[in-house]
Amino acid sequence: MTSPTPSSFLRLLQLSSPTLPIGAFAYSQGLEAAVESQVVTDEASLGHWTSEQLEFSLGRVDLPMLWRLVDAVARGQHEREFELAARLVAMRETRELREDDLQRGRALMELLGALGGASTSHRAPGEWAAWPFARATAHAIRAWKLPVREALSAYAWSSIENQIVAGVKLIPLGQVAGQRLLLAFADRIPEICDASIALEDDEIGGTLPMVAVLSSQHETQYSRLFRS
Amino acid sequence: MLEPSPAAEPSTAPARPSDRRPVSASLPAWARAGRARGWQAELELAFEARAGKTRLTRKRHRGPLRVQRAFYPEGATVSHVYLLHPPAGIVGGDDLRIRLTVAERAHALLTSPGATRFYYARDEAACLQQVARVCAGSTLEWLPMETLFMRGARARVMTKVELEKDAVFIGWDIQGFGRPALGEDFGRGSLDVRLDLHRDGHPLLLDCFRVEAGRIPGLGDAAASATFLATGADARALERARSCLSNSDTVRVGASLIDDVLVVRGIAHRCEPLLEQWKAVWHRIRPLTVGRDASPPRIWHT
Repeated sequence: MTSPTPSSFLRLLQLSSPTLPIGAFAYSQGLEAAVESQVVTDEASLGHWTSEQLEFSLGRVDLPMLWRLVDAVARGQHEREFELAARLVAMRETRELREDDLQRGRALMELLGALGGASTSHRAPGEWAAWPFARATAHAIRAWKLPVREALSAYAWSSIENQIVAGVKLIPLGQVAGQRLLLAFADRIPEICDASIALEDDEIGGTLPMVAVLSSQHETQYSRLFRS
Repeated sequence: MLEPSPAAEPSTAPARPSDRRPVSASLPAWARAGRARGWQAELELAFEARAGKTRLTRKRHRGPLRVQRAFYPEGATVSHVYLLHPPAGIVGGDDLRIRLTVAERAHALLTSPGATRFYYARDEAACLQQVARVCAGSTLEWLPMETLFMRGARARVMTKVELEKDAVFIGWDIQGFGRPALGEDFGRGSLDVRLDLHRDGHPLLLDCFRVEAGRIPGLGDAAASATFLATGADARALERARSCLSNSDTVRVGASLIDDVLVVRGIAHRCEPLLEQWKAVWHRIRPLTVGRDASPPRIWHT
């Protein structure tokens, strides 16, 4: 594992910032369809929706896979890294959720490449397709020498923040309501990260049927602001 | 000598017929130690193509998992087989394994005469493992009736489909939780239900639905969830699937196309509307992905 440097904390803020140019703001991960079909209508239902995302999607899919990807990248285990990335992509339930993940992953790798920090030399031809965001994040964690547990928390945080910001825009809600939700989620994220690290390989996975259905419906939604 | 019932069952579970002896009962005591206490059942099936006809060439079973003979309602090309799960349902400690091979150029359609039921389990989970290997040039249609997880059930269900090269798969998975018609919810059961689709060792779709201590995530107030998959699909198949779907106050359904895999998902207050819509999608999709007009298994009409 890499050891943190004095600037690690600020690098972590940079990586998890909504201003990171990877286009995260363009994806609502099914939330736009949830608002359209009135599954999410107010602060409480947005909290419930996001809470399930945190616990079952981030906590049982993204975070344990990111934890393993960081390890595989650090050890230079390329086969393992490819296999984890392929499994992670296969856990995305719909075309839009898959594209969302892969487009953000690709954007982050391009950014890291442009900044000259990430080693992408072992990228096999045609491997572009299997760059989910967590895999790219694992490379950023290595390139920027970030503390891993904190990086997991930051990954969860930026995903939750993105959902809340999308919800505030779509429902719409007041800014204070959004910040109130974020304040509450910040208390839960560390324990979710700890639990995700403790998962065994065969415990990974967390399909949310409602999200999968709504994300499928979003593909044909008439009026949309978001790409997922 | 019969062993005592493997797990305490609530009164809602039907009594087990006395001829359902666990396989472990015939083993010496030392061999039984450490084993699951429930029924151990296995079923192994192989389909092979001979001169353009699909034959059920291997049919080995142990315990209460069976098939009858194969049926040929649409001619010799496609073998229709009915999977018979234990008639009195599955309880904690039961371990059922189905292994299925569809050899090159063979075409098998499997369905079941009724729902598979998982009942209350006190501690140990029940396991159901269904693994299908579908060889190059062959087709598997996996169309079982719904799986019902009763109040307090604990179960691990793994359905794994391994495709080789251009093998074709069309199938579904329908799950109900509790018995909403009787006002009975899932209680404090726990589940790990997986549906894995691979091609040439590469994962195409890995679904995993987990319920811990009765908390069913991502279902809202629905009590049923279902997935329909078809490989070899394209935009036209997606359009057709969508034309079969209808949403209402109690049924939400949607279709997506991931590479060449059509993935239709739904949640509802009960299983029946999802099963009906999946049958309709199968009917419309089959000519496109399987290359044959839909010929529903006879048992669906009864």
